[in-house]
Amino acid sequence: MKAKVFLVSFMLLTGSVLLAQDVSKYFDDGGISARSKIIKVGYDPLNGELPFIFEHTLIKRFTVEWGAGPVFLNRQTKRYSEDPLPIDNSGLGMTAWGKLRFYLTGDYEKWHIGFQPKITFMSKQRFTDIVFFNGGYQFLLDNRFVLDLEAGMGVRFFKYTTMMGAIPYTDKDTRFFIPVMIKAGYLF
Amino acid sequence: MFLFGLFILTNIFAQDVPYDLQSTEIVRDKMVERAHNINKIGKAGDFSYFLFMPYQPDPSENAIGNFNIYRVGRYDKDMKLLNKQLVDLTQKPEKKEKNFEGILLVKEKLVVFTSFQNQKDKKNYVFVQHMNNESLVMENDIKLAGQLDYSGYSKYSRTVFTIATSPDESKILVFYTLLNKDNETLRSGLYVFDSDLNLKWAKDNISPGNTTGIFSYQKFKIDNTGNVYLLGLLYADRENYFDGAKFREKGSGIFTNDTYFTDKPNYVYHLYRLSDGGKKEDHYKLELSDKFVRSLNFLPSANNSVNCTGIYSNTGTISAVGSFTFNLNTSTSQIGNVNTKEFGTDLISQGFEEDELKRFKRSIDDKGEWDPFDYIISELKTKSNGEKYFVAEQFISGTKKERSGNMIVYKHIYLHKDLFVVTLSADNKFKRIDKIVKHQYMLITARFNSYAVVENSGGLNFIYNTFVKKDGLIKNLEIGDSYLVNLDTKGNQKKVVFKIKDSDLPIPMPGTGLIAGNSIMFGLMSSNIKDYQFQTLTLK
Repeated sequence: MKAKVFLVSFMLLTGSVLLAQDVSKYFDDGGISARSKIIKVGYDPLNGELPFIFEHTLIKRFTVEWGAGPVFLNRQTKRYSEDPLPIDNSGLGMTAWGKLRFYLTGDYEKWHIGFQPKITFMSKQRFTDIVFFNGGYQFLLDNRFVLDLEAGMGVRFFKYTTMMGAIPYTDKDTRFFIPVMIKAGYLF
Repeated sequence: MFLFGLFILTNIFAQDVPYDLQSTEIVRDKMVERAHNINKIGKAGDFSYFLFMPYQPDPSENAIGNFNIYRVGRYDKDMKLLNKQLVDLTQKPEKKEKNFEGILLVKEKLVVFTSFQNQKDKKNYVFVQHMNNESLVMENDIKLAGQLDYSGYSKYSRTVFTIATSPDESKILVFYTLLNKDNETLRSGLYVFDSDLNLKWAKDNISPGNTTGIFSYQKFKIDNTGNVYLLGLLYADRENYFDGAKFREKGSGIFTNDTYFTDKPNYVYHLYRLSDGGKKEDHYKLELSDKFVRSLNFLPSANNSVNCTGIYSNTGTISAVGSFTFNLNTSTSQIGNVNTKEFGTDLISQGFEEDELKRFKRSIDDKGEWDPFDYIISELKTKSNGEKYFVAEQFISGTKKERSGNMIVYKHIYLHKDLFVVTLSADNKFKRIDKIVKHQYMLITARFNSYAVVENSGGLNFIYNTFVKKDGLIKNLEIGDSYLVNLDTKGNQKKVVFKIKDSDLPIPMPGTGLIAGNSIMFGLMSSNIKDYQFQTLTLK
């Protein structure tokens, strides 16, 4: 009896295995659907920033970008020539930021919008930028390489110190901040 | 999570109540497991299966989140939940996430269709596999069901699938349409499987072959021998094509005046029959000589015959004035056995409100339109006493403008109004037409709309909800009572409330009804979609 049960079980099991098809090749998409990270290098010609960027998925269509890199003060001086910032005319600063990004039609492709808090150090001064809205378009050039164009608008907050005779006087000020960036990246 | 402890059965044993009603407890799942809707899958033996659906955003909607979470619930004959299992869409060991395309019961076995968009191959692969009826775990028998190449389309967006089974469940039809970003059809095709999920035949790039007008497929059916029937609508031009209703913001009446002309008698039903493994394709125009076919459904039957049933209006007009049946002989392409029956003014105006009646009376004199509705024609069914019947439900959708301070919001509204119940003799001759006045006003969701019908000893029993007007203005989801209406073979109607309105309790969803004999099991959800339960209504 036991042998019979075993035989029937074996036949059923074999039947089940025979019915199954090897479908693995249909899921071989070169890893496109599994890619969730991008490293990028960007350049902001308006503000003179050259950040190195890492973007990764939080949930579907929702990512976070981390970026940091040098800032060329001569571009900042030129950008704010009408209402100068309390910084040197030339030299290097440093900027770092995080950005929440939402892709409107699909991960890593097409239109995206975002929100970007940012901190920048220039001539020993700290500038806090809140980019309320950031939007752009990311091209997937082939399966690995991306080109990302974006622009945004926000406000730059900073404190500055002036000497009233021998007494230092600290005040707060703001400027419009308009980031414009072109980025090239590698998807993995 | 249980709100009221263990499983409770509630029975109503009042003498004058024509039904028994059993209820499960009201359940509130954890936030992460909460379903947005419930769909029926079917019954296998004593077990009932339901699909718990995630929120399904419109393709144009920019929604964040995972909308690929489906659960299947299995209930025994006492409505006890035996298990509720997540549909595992992860393809192992590749760790790739498939898209859920559909689940159905074929010969009492659960069958799941999934797809995977391979961006490297530019192909959408379709898979089919069984789900274990008891454990609700996916079986290890996944098969490639089809592969849809979209490499030629730069604007390819997605593929939509429609799955149907033949009456004896020996054949499965999978119809697909590749769409672009503007939801325009790029290509259509189909697969036909047997009940063991073996591919019988396939046809890609199906074209209706119309050189002018605007065409859309409406219904997809397969008969027991594997012949496929595609019903389509061909509009002559874009005038009023798919125009939605405009609901009144305030004042008397539901619709604005121009809503009565949302549609024009400028379309024709076309039926395509694909046979001989897709090698033979026949095309039929479904028209009546002196009447305009307003809405139509069909049922393939034996001897190369297709039974067509529906609602007609007078030539050149759109307001429904009667019902028809005819037979299409697919061998000779002839339409024969045409039977028609006018509703008559009494039946049309039955249950009309003051403004509707005023418009209808005026239309008799000025030959105007009074009926802006489409008609959803049910399947033709045979009753236990040999009679046949079908139901034509009035339906219209559109937008309603609402003001809140300086804000103006346009809400999409679904309005399923009254029912025309057409009873036929066994040889498709008209016996009677009755009207069930639902007074089911507009809703911003289709979840609680429409009706379900159960036959009991020749009588038909309709269940539906009502949603009421308030203060002269029609509000969204003002919950009313839920009704059971018995229509006997002589046309007498008995109407009882089987659930008194209570905005805190789940509302019946007639579309989820699974019928077994003289009882129907259906799901209920609260209007905030947090709570759900099931009920079984058994007719005495």
